[in-house]
Amino acid sequence: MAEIKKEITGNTMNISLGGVLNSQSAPELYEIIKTCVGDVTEINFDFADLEYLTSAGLRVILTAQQEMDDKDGTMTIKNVSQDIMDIFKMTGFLSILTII
Amino acid sequence: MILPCLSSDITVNRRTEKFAKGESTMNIIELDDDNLEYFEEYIGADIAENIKRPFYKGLIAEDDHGVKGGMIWNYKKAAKDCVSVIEWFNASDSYIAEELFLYYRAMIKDMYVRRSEIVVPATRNKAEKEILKHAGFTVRLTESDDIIVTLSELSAMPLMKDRKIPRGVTTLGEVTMRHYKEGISRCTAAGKKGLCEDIGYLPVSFFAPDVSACYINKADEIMGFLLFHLLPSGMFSIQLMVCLDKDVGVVLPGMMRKFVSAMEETYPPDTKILLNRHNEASLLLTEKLLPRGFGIPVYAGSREE
Repeated sequence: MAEIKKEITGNTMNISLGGVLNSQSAPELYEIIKTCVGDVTEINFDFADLEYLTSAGLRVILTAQQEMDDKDGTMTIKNVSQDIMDIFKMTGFLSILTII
Repeated sequence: MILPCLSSDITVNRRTEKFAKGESTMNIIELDDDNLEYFEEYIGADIAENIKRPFYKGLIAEDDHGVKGGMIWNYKKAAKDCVSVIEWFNASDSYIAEELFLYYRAMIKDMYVRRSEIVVPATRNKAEKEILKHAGFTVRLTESDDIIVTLSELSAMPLMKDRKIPRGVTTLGEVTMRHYKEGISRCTAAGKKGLCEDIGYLPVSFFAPDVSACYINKADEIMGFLLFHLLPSGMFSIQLMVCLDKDVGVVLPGMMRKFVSAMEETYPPDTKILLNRHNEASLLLTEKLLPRGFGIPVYAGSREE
């Protein structure tokens, strides 16, 4: 299961992920994004403790990017492991994500 | 290379103000059988081959320095009107896009197109989105309906643990032309055309005969098709998945097993197969069979014409 820590300051939402983002844990992150995105125009993910993500996890990341894209907001992801970077590369995500 | 403008009264050779300053001429060329070979490399063979089909049209924008953009679209019937689905679009900047859409709009006018739909891969950060928004499209980042899997992934599906093929399921190559035509007529009458709006006009040879599957019921009627087209790139692309029989729960998995088994006999495990989740049935089936399948990020949108 993924560990999800969320913190909202003003229009910024910081989310730290740990463990595995898969079909079991992705719905929880999806709910957080959908319910908290209201006035948020900036989402910053920290993947430092994220071990890997499946297609269900990718879909939630795409949803977050979609939300920010719709409102011309920004989304960043930091501390991405090489394995997850490879997944982003294979799935065409590198061209839509801002990885710092 | 600059080609002379070919065919059609839409095709133009115009010196725009912008291009006149640089002494460069912008050509907007309608794609057809004769000029396709010149642009096939730029477009990509898999999409370019569609220009030979009845409901497909295409344009290329070219100046003295080479090809600057292009688009290929497909007319689909929707009630009394028509929807134009832009299946491939590429423009180096919004000016080229503007030129292409100007001539596109003139060409779709006679077809009573009510709405244009577009899907482009999100490959250049937000550049595609801005170009399409500028052209009047409402655009959203989303996941592509297309997923590409290998034959080995299909062989490993839980569905393939049971290799039994139901009675009546066979390959397309084993059915008579009369059966095929009757089956296609039945599908079109029921509005089941899959990805091929022009399925009634396509020759049977468009579909891969040795791996596409069909279902013939006890009354000797074709009631199911799982048709694949072999693309020039060597990838197999699903075109129609339909079962008009009450035993759909047995027939569809059976045709899928037949397809995979037939593929395994001839093609290597790394052969690519393109599955399109264009309707709810195909989406549900794909999610069930290939829960890890994922489409690339795309910008999808539409505009009223």
